[in-house]
Amino acid sequence: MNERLKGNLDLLVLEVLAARPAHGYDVIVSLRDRSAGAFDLPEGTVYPALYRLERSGLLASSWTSESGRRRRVYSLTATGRRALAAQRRQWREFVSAVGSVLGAPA
Amino acid sequence: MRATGALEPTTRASGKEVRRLTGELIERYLDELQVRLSGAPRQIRRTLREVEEHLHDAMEAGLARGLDAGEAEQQAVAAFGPAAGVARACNVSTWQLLRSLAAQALALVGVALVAVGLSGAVIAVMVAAGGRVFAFADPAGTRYSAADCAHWLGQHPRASSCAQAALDEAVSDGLLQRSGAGVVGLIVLAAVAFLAHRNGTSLRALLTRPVAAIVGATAFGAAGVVLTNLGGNAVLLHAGNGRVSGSPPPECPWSPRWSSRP
Repeated sequence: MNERLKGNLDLLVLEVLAARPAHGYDVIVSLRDRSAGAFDLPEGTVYPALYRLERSGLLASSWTSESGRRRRVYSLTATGRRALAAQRRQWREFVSAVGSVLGAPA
Repeated sequence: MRATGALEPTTRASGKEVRRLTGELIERYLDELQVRLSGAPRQIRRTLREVEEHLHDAMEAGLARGLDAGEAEQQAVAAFGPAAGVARACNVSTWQLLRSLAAQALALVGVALVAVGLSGAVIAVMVAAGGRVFAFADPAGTRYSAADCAHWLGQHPRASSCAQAALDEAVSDGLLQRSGAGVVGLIVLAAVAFLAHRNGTSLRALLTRPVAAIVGATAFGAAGVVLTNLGGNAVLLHAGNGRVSGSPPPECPWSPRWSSRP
């Protein structure tokens, strides 16, 4: 499960951040909650993904101060929203194709 | 490794007291991560600060679930994953860096070529408005070398004089070559945009990265200053460009004085 998850982590991170800007811990908690605990990656894996997506221009980030804590908050850029839409479409096509194969009579 | 998590009150500048989690295990984890991270110092500090806040958040969550401070700290560190793996994934490899810089450089070259193409379009408008002589003829009194004349007449055998050949050469340089550069630039940009899209990014994102933005602004800004200076110099000191009517300047092939073309 985790290997498959790593291959699609960028899509999932973008999806989580499409709902609202969030910091790294928030992203990993959202992933865990929204998957009902199924996606339980080492939490440190989210930061390389966030940095990679930011370098690609899909995310922007800035420091915020909240209750005396400084947090780096990430949000989707316009490019990120377009990339998310494209990746969602590709994922649904992939799932549909795999479903068709699995559902075929033996 | 023994967990030593604890809650310690600290007072912030605002005077508000905040219960701050401290733990030796987290500190050791951050030490190990710091040693293994490579790259820009600012990025390393940012990663360490983010990881520290993350671990404190996770530790607080553990405490909220009823764990004691030591257990909460241990679970927070364990859930984050080995520092070596996190650092390896965070560090940008030399190959990734070179690939990114090459893509940014190619995008800048594409933009520069398109800018040259656009300058050709501006010249085309000038030709349409004022004619070839207005847009391209050298200032009155310009003299050409015999070698230049021979070269231009060879390139433009239909020209009836050296001045006419010089004009034809200028039109060729100004319109055809610039248009060609613009087309090549569009092809380069399309190729870079396609490759960027395949890698989950965009041409715009490539061009707005700090390195590309700084290099692009410096190079294009410098080119703008130099070309504006040359343009102003040509108009003010070599008055004669922009003649709406009149024949091309007389040719004196034996006495080179000033020529803008090779």
